[in-house]
Amino acid sequence: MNRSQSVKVIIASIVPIILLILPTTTLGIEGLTIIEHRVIAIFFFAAIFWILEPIPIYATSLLIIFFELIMVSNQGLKMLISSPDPTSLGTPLNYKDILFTFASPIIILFLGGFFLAMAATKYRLDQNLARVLLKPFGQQPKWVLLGIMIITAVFSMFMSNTATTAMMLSILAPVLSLFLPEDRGRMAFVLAIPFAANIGGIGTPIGTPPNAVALKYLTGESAISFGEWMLMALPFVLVLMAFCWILLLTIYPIKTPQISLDMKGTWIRNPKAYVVYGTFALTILLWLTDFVHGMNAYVVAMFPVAIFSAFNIINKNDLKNISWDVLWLVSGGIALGLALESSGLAQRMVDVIPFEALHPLIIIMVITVVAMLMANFMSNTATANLILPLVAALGVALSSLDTFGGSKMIILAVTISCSMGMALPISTPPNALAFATGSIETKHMAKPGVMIALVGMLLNYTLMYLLNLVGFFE
Amino acid sequence: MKEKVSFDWIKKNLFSDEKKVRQLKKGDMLFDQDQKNDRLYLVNDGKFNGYFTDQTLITYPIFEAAKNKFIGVYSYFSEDNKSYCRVVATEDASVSYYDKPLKDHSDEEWIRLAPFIISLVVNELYSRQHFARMMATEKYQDVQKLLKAEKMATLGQMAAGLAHELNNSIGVLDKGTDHLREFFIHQFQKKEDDEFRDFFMTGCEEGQKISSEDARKRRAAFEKIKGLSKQQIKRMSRIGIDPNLVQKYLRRDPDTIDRIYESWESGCNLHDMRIAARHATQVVRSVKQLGVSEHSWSDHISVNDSIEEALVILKNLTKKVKLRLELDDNQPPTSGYYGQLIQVWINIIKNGLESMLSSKTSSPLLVVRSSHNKDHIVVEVTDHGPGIPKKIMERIFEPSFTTKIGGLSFGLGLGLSIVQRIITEHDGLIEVSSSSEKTTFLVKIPLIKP
Amino acid sequence: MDNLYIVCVDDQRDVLSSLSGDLSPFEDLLMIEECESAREAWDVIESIDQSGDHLAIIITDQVMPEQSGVELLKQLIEDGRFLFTKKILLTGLATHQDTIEAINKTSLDRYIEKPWSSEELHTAIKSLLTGYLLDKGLDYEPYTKILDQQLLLNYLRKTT
Repeated sequence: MNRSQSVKVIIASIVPIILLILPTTTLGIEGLTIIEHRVIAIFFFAAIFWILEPIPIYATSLLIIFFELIMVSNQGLKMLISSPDPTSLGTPLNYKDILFTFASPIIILFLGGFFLAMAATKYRLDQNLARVLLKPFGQQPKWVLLGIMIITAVFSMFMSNTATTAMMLSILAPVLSLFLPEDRGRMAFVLAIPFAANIGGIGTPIGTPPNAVALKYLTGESAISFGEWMLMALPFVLVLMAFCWILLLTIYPIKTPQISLDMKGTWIRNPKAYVVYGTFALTILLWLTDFVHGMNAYVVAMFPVAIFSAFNIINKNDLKNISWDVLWLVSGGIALGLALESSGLAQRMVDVIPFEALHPLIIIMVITVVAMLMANFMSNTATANLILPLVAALGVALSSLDTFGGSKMIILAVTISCSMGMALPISTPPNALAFATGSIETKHMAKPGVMIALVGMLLNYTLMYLLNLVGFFE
Repeated sequence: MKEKVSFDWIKKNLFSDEKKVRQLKKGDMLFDQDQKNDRLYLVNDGKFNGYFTDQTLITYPIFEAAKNKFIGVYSYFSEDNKSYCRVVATEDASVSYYDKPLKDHSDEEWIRLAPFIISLVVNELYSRQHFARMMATEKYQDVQKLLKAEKMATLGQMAAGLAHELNNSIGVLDKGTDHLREFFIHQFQKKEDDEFRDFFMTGCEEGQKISSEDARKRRAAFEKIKGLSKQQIKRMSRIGIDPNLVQKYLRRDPDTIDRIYESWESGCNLHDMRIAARHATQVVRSVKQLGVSEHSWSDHISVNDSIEEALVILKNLTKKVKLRLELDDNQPPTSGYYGQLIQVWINIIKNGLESMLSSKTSSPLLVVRSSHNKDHIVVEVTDHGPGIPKKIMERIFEPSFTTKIGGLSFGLGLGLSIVQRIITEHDGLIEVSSSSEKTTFLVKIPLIKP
Repeated sequence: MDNLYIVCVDDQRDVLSSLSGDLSPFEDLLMIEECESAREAWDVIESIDQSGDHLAIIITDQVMPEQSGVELLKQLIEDGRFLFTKKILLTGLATHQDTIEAINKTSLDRYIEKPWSSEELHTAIKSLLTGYLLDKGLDYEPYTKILDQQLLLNYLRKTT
């Protein structure tokens, strides 16, 4: 760690440490317990560290779990959690609940998605599918652009947005050099991929980590199945993609008359490959038909994990390539939500702040816009990690929201907002990859990125309004 | 009892007629090719050569005959008594002859002469055969020499051509460098640019004097200065500027630091370009010397210079070893083939280098020393390689002898046989002494006052 | 800690200067060290290792006094600490034998002939640096700007 990094860590730590040291009473919240006080400090720690990123974001997640375990769990440091006055201390969290976040059903859902994606890449299912699916789009640039966007979006629903972007950019790379130097259409192609990946991620619960975080709070009455999610999100994805396509064609018109993506490759034909193809289809089918067989998405997610491991399709070595950092980032978020909820802090905050006085639509607007802005400057997942627990508590407590769809509506609205951060290279890993090709500058990305985000937000509200009309949230 | 036939008997009985003697002056012909000859000659004194002219009118020497040799053996014994070659005296000579036709001899006479005739014919056959073989060998060697000379001549022409072309290019680069330098100095004319000009000039004149190792050591001093980036620290430590001065500049205007470096670096680049151009010129000149002036005798050459030119050409090889040069400071000039002498040093030095490198000698050392006495300039080249094995010691100067595979490499050396030939042409002397630790080639070149 | 180094070794001062001049576009993100001999290179390499930094790429001339480039590289691969270090031989005069030896015995990554073109050198550095980071499992993100995009994309496709 070099000096500037250490300085960053120290600066970022100042506020949480001061918060922690201050006597509980000075915070000015009536009835605040010591445990709640510490959770506030941990929350600020998480917020500041996720925003400033003095250490990797997954490390912050692990620290959240660590701090929770020693400071607010029933197996924590004795001198910290024993107090002569039990009421002022509050109820410590069960340490097992905190540790369970590592294997939360949501994590398993994602793991299942990872296994699917990894096997697909290993047996070139992704590349072959891309090749076959791109063919009908011909060689006219605008249709090729559309084809690339659709394929990217579809893939990013089941694979990570980053891996999808990487694959599509590498397919595109040989074509990029064929563009005339003055043809800005090149930028349309380079931007289409990360945008489509970001938008496509909204399409399924496993499409992008914020969706998974949302699932954590969509429990009980507001629970949502894999199929329901897609039913809700696909129309949104389709409309926003269409807008994105037209927007890119307008801002960066393509002058090159013809584009041929010459992709080589053949389908792998051996038993293992057939297992991969079969399992892929089966898993998606099972995800969509839970009402028939009764297995929820989390249980179905174990199918690819079990099958690919049994057939040695994903081997020991491949396990190393799993993005554990993404999983742990989500775990930390869940643990943070858990602490906010179990300590009673979330409820207390909602009680203390007079939300009832505000119009519910203003609340929805403010929270979704804040989420969208934050997502532009920091990790989408971290944004969801920070905002969703608060929103979930708010949704439950605020009865005035019920007419608009209640907590389920606001959680979904915020989750979609978290995926609207795509204006800057740092907004999402796909954006960073596209930027790294060197074909575009920040301003080229910001212009359509901002417009897509704004239109996306409007679309988001429209979607919620319509879903409420058809009784989706009941 | 029959007398035994002997040479003396023949001489006494057949060639003692004083009337049958011919005196010839040098260049006189005894008989011509295809001329009828029915005499058997015995050389009393002087020397003869036999020549044969073929259909293309080219004349070859066929045999030599000196005192007590027979001439006309073939024509005398043959049916038609026709000579197959022309015999000419190569110095004043006298011959006796025997001219009694064969058919006039009685049977008894024949029987007595037969053993003598057989031995005579065999003897003749042998000596002519021997002569022919000698001629063939000599001719083969001549051809080889010619081929090598031709190779050298071609290389020489190539070298000259290359040298010409390269000289033009180098000239352009060299001039360009000078112009650029003037341009830069002009650019720094403004008063406030004085210090940049100074740094530029320092770079121009000295290049980077500080070794990379020293630069690293100096870094610590600059690291103490606040406000310098990592890159700037590295750069300043290369210039060799006083840290306090840097601090002063930094306080005045942080941009100055980068401009200082840029000025200095531009200067360094020009400096390096000039050095490179000069080096290229030197190499070209050496190669040219090697090729073109090989056959021109000069009355005023410096042996030391020729050694140094050889070392320029061998720079890439000598880099790999430690080279100690002990050249004679007061070496008098002498006469000789300058280009050929370069060849000699290249061959000897390369030989030593290669023996050390191929045997992976630890701490290889090559010493080149020159000295002189009143008659000679003496050059010693000593390598600390494994030495030359005794059994090949005698053969190292043979033309075809090589311990390497591949032979000619870039025409820089033709082996030690050439070295010996060149030294011999200079009336010099070359000696080798070798032990298991070192090998010394000692070359003596006569001092010829111009 | 965690700095990446490129070490350049050449006994000729002017060549070294022009080499490090050519590498200056990388100077923002990488540390570039010049050495005038193999021995000096070893000093630098040791100090890089001691401070926990990484020797990403070594660029060496072949013909040098004392230790030759190939010998330096051979010694380097025998040292387990520099298993992933990428090796470039930059040379004007190498015999056939040197070349064969370099490729076979030092698992050479690039063989570049003098005079080199900056572009060729840059391409080589980018692709080798990418390889080094990915092989060694270091965080590539800070260096994205100077990496070989295609190599990086191919790698990222395999992650989840």
